[in-house]
Amino acid sequence: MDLLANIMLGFSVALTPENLMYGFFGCLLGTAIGVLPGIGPIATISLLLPATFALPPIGGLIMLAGIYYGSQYGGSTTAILVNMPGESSAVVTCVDGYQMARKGRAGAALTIAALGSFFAGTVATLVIAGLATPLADIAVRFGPAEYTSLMLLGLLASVVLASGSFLKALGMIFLGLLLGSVGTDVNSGMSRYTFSFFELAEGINFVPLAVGIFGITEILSNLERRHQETVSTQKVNRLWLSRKDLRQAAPAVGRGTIVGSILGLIPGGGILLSTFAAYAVEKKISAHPEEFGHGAIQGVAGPESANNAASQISFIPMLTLGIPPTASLAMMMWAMTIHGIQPGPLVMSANPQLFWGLVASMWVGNAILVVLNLPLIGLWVKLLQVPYRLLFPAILLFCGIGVYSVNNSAFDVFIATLLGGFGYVLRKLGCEPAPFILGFIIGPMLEQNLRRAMLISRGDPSIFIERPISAVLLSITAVMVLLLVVPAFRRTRQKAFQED
Amino acid sequence: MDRIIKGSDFWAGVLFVTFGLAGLWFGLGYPFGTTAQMGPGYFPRVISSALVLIGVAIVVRAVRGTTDAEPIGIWPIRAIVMVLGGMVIFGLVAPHLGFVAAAAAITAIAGLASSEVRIGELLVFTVLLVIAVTAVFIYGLRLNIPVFPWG
Repeated sequence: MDLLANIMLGFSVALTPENLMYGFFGCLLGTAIGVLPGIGPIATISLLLPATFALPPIGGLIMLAGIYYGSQYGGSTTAILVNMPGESSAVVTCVDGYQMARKGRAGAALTIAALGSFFAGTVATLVIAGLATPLADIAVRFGPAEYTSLMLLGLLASVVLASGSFLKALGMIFLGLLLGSVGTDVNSGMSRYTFSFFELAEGINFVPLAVGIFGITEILSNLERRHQETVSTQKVNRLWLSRKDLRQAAPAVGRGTIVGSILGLIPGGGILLSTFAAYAVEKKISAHPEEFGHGAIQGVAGPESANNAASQISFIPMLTLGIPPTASLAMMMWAMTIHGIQPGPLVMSANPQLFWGLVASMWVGNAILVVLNLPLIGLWVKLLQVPYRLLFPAILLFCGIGVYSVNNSAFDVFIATLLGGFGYVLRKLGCEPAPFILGFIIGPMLEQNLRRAMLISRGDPSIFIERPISAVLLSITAVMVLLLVVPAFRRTRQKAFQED
Repeated sequence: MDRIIKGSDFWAGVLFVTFGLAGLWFGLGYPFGTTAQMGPGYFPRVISSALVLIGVAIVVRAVRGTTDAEPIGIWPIRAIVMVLGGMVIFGLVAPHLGFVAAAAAITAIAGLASSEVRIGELLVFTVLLVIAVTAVFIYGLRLNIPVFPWG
């Protein structure tokens, strides 16, 4: 009954008119920005972060959660209508969603994406509420050794689950770790790699980094492609699903939710993996696998539900342990620290209102999205029909405002520009940005915990094996690395990511 | 040779090696400490060394031709200059001439990045966008940025 009381507490926080309004505006703004082509959740959150500055912590967090969900839903909309995924987890949705749109069934695709996500979000919220307390109990027993092992697991998982070259993804992690060590070393007070810029004393700010690598880089890539794709201009008039659609899509939603809820627990890349897995499941058990790739509604319903379930579930490691499992959640976590909340095992006990309020507002956010987006789809389509030659200067302006307004710092704008150019070079060289961001955020935490663990054990690395939780985490990591070396698995991995 | 130089793998490897070496070089002065008591130089040096090794591995694979990396392709110079230039101008202008001037500059300059640009349309769009954005961000969200050169 504890669970029920906790959920009630959460809803009492999330459903105050004020917080409901913040959630509403978060979803609205998040969708509006997330719908812009090439703007994924990370860029959306960093662009809209300034909008939450003036709010009280709980209100700010609820609005951020709304922005997060809104941006993901906006991303799916763009994936379906323009065939442009805002982030890697929307790639699978593009495959059948865009085909549906080309056949004039964009409305059905968008509706099933919204309803599927809502169902998945509801289940996932319950799972979080149920798992959070026991997991937080485990989390308090986490010492530096356990944290170090878990972070290694997360970083390596993001490499194993990345879609491109393994070595390049590994390199990107280390590049992120290196950039993360810029700034003052906490233990010794020594400045590292600051090149006498006092602005770098506290490290590279996350907002310019994210806006540069995800916002500016994306604009450059799109301009290079000359933007030939045009939005499917057919009107999205029929939103309702036929009986046949429902019969096909409903079980897919259920399966996708299960896949997402399980795989979402894997730090590093569970969300991306879950979308591919859900698609593979649907294709495998379908009586007409040949329809996949040509607008099968299950191919949208399954992955979209899995995506939403997994992205919600992946809040668990962040809320209980304070370790962000994905790049977008790293952005969320950074945003939380700006609001003065350090996610970790103590939040739940020290600030239950905030914790359960956030959990409840996840569900409220999902509900708002359905209510908001189905009527507003026409508006999003109009937004997508603005020619890109006008859209991208506006996006760049938002990038500029987003970066500048965090600290009123021109230096941050220059850093964002530099990293935008750098990110573009990396993109041209076939290096993925997500492991880089993860490395950048986890780097300082990893170093701190590694140093503490070594201090405790007096430099003896066997501490990582002697402590049971740490040993388990490390063996999972070892298995993953072994799998990479096994040729059979490598082929499956390649095949899994080429499924389209 | 041509295939290697045009391939993305080779240059990705070179980039990782460069950053690794730079990390080692600029980190020379940071005390290394011991494994039990790591100094500020321990972690960066380990990371940088790993980066060099990974980069070398990628380069070796690229030279041996065991990978079929995609070619890098062309560099859209005009887009790069206008987009990055627009951002820099925004950063230079905003603190001194205020938000409106900076916003107009970045929109107009970035607009020139596209080869499909239509000057008249871009100018009208810039004016409308700046008005809308100023209303939303400055008066709506109350961002604390000076609006005009006079405050």
